[in-house]
Amino acid sequence: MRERERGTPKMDVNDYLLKLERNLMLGGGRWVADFNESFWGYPLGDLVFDMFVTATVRPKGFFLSRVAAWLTTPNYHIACFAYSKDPELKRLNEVLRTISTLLKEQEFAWAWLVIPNEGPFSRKAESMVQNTSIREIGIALVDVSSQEIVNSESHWGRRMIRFIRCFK
Amino acid sequence: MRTAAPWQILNSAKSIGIFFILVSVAWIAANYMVFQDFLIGWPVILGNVLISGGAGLWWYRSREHARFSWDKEGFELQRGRTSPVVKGWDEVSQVSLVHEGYGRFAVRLYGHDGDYLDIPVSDLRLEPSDFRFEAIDLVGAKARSTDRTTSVSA
Repeated sequence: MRERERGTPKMDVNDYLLKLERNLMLGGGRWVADFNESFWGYPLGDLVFDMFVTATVRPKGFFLSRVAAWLTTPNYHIACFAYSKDPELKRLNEVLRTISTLLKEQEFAWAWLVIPNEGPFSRKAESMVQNTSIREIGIALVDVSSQEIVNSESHWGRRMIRFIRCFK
Repeated sequence: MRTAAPWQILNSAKSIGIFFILVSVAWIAANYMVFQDFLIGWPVILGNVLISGGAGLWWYRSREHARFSWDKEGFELQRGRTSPVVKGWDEVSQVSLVHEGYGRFAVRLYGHDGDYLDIPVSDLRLEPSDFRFEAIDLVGAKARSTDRTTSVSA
């Protein structure tokens, strides 16, 4: 907050998504998986996701580390979705259903859903996310203005926080 | 039409390095078979550097050097002296940014049949994210103009 007062320019959703994409591909996200492909404006079902980043859990590395990873790490796919068009979460069930269908069809193990907004979310939206109990989808509401994050209580929901906190 | 075809230092160094290893191994093997000994000295190393430099640069120019040209209608990608891939933006259905590792990026252009072509934007010294958005805009603009043409002719 103090930084904002010193004149840090206000972040919008696009700025945040660019930072998130960079953090997943080149920053802290590499500790979770090799996020290697990113789509913007990705159509899926009746929805168009702002961003869709896919990853494999097996790291690439150079010769020896690649062999070691091949021998020791399972090679499953994961994804990170961003959807900013519904901050009131009126279509949350549809979004989650669409993601679940993709996870099943494409054999992704789990996914993160980031819902960014330039302003606070309603109490109802926050409690909807906190009470969502889908095991394979971690959900987070990100208010890019106040830099506050509300996450779901699933394992992936709790784990995603430190990787999506990229406001600087 | 805009063109990007800078000298790709990493690719040329890679080509020269691979030829240096190949020439060194070949020299050692030939020595061992003929003389049952290894003749290594400054003239040999200098000769090896010259041969691998020449061969590596030839390989880079004929196979590796990327040249990319594009305008609002389409693009052309050529690797070395191989025949160029020429396509229109209307042949592209989806654009993605691909991290190839070690901070190197490519912009992947998917065709309507699911095949894709990688534009090596890091090799071409284009800003990966900016070029990705430019490609998305060009694909979108082309799709809109095609839709308009179709609806007018119908």
